[in-house]
Amino acid sequence: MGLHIYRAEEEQLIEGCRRRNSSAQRRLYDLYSSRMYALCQRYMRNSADSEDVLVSAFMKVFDRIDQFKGEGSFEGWIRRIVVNEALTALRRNRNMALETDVEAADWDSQALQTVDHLHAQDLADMIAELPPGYRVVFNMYAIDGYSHKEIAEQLGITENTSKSQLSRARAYLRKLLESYEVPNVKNGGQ
Amino acid sequence: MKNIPDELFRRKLEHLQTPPPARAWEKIERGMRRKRITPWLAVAASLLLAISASALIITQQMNSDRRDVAARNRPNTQTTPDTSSNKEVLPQPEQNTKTPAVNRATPQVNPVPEAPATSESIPDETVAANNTPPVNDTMPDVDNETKIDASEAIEDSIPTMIAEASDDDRTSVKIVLEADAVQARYLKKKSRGDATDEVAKASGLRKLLDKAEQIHNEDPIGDLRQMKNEIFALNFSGKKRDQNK
Repeated sequence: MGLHIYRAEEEQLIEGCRRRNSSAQRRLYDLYSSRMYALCQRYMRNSADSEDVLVSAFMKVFDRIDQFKGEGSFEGWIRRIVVNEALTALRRNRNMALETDVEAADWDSQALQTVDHLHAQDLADMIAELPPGYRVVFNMYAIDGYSHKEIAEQLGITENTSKSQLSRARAYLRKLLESYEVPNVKNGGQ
Repeated sequence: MKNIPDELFRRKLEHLQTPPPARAWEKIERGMRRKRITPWLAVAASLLLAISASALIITQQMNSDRRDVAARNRPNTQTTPDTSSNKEVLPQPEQNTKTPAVNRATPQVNPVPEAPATSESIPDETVAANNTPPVNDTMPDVDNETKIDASEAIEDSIPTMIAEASDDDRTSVKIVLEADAVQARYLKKKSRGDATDEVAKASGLRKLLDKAEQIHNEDPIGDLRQMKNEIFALNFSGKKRDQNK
């Protein structure tokens, strides 16, 4: 019942945005902007770039709202636009290094149990520490659900490169998690 | 096991929310407003461009028309001064046999049938030119032989003459004068030595002018002068006789 009401409200909002109703646009922004801003921060290195990407992405959402045909989730449609804007900004800034040498590390099963309690913001900070190429591929594949084929098309790289980047990103994060967890474990033991 | 970090990060970060700064919405509003205005500005700019381009084209066309009219006027203004300069040239007929031809062709504008509709709009220069021929005709220094030579020169050298007169503002008049027509209508009248019939058919003005020329050449007081001389001669002989007595 609640989901049904939510869908009806969302359709009203979409219809208002199609009519270029500014109050409907504002409500839509209020509904999704926090989630989209967090997404931007995962891709971009600093908050100023994240804000720019958010602004241009929502302008595109309002401008191309007629292209949304109601197939799939509306939030997913907005997410795609935001991710594309982030990738465009990264390409424009030329700060997306696709190759970074990081030694692969084995995942320590003991560490898995200890990091589960980490806050989301701590994990977001770890992602922000990744080199740009790794960060993008990891975000796209591990969190936003893109396939390697889609990542390769979007970034203009081969699928093997995408897989390689993902593997190295995981290794990097493992190291970060281990280094983060060791003090916590020690503290917990005391 | 190796995919565990993916799950961990997805679970924790997928629905993470971070409120954006308030100025982000202001930027979006500003951008949307600019996008709404831009199409109208583009339409207005293109309209303005189209209007100014058409105005420019029309102005250039009008300027070129005026230039054409001025270019057409130029030959007319060149022939018209010949009318005035001819008065000075006529006494020297051997040097300028063709110049009088232009002079005689130009003033005969009105009788030519090709320009009757615009006769009202003929400029003042043409009207002035129409009034010139009697002045030239009455010039006493030109003898008949010179005029005949000039008419022959017209036949030989200029088969057709085109005189164009135009109003400075709008209308233009194109007058075509054929040498034969000019010769037949006007020039032969001036060769009075050969034209016996035409003298009889001449107009009143023509007759008056002829009479004036005749009086000028014939010395009308010649008889009186002779009688006076005779009287003086008689008196002189009488006085001589008285002195001898």
